[in-house]
Amino acid sequence: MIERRFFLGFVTALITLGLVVGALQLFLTRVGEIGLAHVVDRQLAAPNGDVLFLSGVNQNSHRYKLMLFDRQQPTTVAIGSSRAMEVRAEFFAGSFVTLGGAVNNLGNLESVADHVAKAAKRPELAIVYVDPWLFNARYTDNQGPVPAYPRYVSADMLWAGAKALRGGNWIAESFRSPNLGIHAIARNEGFAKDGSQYYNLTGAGSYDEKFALTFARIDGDKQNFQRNTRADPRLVGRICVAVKKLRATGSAVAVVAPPFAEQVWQRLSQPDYAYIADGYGQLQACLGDIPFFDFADPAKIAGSTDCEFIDGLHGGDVTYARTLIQMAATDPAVRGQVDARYVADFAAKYRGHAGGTVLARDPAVREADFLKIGCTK
Amino acid sequence: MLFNSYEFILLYLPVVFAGFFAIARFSRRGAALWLALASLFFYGWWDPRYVLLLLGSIGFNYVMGYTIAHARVDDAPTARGRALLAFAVTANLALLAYYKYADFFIGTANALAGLDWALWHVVLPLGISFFTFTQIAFLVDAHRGIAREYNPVHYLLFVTYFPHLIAGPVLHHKQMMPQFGRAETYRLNIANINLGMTIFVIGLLKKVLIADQFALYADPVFNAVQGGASVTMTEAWIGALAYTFQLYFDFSAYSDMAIGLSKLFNVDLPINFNSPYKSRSIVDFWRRWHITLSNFLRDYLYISLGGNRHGTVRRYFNLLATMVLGGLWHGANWTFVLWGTLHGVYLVINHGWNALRTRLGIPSVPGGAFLAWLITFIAVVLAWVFFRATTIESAIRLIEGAVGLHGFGSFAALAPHVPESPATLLGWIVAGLLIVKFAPNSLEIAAWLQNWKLRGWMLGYAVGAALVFVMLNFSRVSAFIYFNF
Repeated sequence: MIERRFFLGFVTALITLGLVVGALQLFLTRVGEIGLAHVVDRQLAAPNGDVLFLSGVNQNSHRYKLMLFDRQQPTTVAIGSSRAMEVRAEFFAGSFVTLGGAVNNLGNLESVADHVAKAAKRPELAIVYVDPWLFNARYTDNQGPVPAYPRYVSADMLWAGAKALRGGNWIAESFRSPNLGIHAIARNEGFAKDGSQYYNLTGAGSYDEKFALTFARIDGDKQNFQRNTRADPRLVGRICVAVKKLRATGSAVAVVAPPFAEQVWQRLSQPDYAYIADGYGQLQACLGDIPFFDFADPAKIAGSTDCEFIDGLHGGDVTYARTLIQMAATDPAVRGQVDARYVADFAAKYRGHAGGTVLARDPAVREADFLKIGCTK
Repeated sequence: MLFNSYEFILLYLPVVFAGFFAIARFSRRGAALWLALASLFFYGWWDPRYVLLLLGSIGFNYVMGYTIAHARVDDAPTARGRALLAFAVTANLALLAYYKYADFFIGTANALAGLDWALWHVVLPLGISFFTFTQIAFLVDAHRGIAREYNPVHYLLFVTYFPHLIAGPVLHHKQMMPQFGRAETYRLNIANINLGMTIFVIGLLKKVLIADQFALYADPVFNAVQGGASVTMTEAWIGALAYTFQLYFDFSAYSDMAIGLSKLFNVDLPINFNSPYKSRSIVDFWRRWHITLSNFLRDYLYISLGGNRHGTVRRYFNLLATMVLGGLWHGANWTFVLWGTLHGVYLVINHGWNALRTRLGIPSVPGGAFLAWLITFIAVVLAWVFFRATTIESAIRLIEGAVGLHGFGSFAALAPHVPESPATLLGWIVAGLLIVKFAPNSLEIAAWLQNWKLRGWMLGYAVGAALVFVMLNFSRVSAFIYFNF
């Protein structure tokens, strides 16, 4: 009798909780946390920036970005980490997708380069943004696997969804918002269909106030900011091979050292981080005639200020517009793709701001001094 | 196919379970065959090509076992039987050597003799160490007259039986064949289903919620030393302890799941773990850790080498040789050889100390039990460093860190290599330590739940809910460590 009751309880749990899980699976699929294909379908059916996507659980956008690339087959592609996510389609005369966020380690860079090089329609221009930690032997995430995008409801997903409720009722919002993914629905920020990220920069205190978070990583010798005096030549060599693979398939290639905020760069200019200059030097030598643009020091970007940064290591779209102006001035391949007039007007109009594209889409929006460094916006 | 996967729990297991008992209503032989074929499907899910290898191995060993058994005269082994046994065991070891050790031997020869032979890059078939050892034991048992049943369907099932096929436990013919022959095995037993599901769910919880969490802390440290980095004392111990817990919870979770799944089919598998980190000596540790392998090594290697029958020195040599080969069984790498050697040395010291203590009449002292546990635990942890590291150099680099050669490193500014808050990390490590030292193991918990006075609908519901909950965590799914061996 006891055994029968036990078994009955067991089966009842499977049936009742299974039904609940099934319902959650359907709901989370609808809001974009499960399955990528319909997310990309919805984004491609709308104008760029109208449907933002950012998962509340899986922040690794590798597979999503590759799917955007495959479906749009752009003329220009940007390749890199989150530090290549503020390059916008509006900056280019032809079609554009950024794979920013797809490269979180060297293995990712190699697989992305391989993927782009094998594309049915290869881009005319590939801009590769190379983070310095990719050639730091002490960066421990250099071979991490790419997590699969979820196909089923998970505890992490439910937990993230529950936590996101603290910031507002995103469940109710999901029935009104065009956005997909818990984070995008809850905070109205995420990736547009060009792969670039739109931030919600209207509230103060959301990000890296006075670059404290970045400084903590530097002080802690961790999370991409591991110190080293020398770059690893083997790692530089692998980057070089990946870049050359892109060019070997016919695309013009430009390599960029993406910028840090000025205050952060001051800290990274110390001997503890001598590997950065060493590595970029080695890379440039290896690249030969492939153009290399070193913007790691933001002082090299005309007109750039820390107010145009999202945080200590991510420039805003105005910063990246400024880099494109300088790149186009010396590199004919970049010049041939960039919409020079738009970019120049954009950089001028939104100087001092980190998210010019958001302001351009909605003039009523006011960007806050979210870094709390005394920016007048 | 992993036990902790949707396809296994939602499709494979229900279909195999229902099919087995449905067919058993009409034919026990048919049900056994169904289970064997389902086990082959389970194996082939990984790579169907290797099903042929598995079947070839089974066919060869069945024929050889049968022939060896029938070479006995007047129920005693004969020279012909011994020759057949030697041939069959050699063939099995040759198969294992080809698939598992070819590149290891070539690489070692290259290094020692300065050669440049190309590696073969042979893919290691899943579970080959387990099904080979299981069948070597069968051959020896056939020679010794212990294995007496030769039903071909039961033999096929004995080797392929999916709960144990990939990562053990290492089974004995005499343990399993009688179970496949008895009528009760083929009748639905609700008590066994309940107990089996309870043990299976406990194993799943251990694997998904505990073992995989410790992997997040162990992997970065071992990857860092493998990349040439030096680690501080704090980092080194976090890495070593995290791996110590990861390995135990991972492997014992697999064993729990295997035992639980088998119970659903009314078949008892032997216990493989008995709270090994509670051991107060290395001898005790090997009676509690991977028990079926320890027993195999003792029965078929140590005793065959002479065991303790030829004096103390020979006994210690036999111990050392057994452990070195046991280490090599785990993988084709010198790190495993070193790990086995270390344990061999530990065992020799342990036996030597026991003998000395008896001879000198050294009494027990207060706190001695705790000290014995501590020494044993630290010895085991340090040996695991060699087990986990991919090169001896990286293992030594980590040991250097553990003894403080690269600084202490504080918890406050913890670890460029461990992306976790110090409090969380410390919490997991302390919790792991408390669990392995003081908590009952899975089988003790399951036995306790069996007799719990509140056992009934609520407990059944709790087990079902736990299963659903753990399945919600499958997004972090990972393979079992012992699949590599």
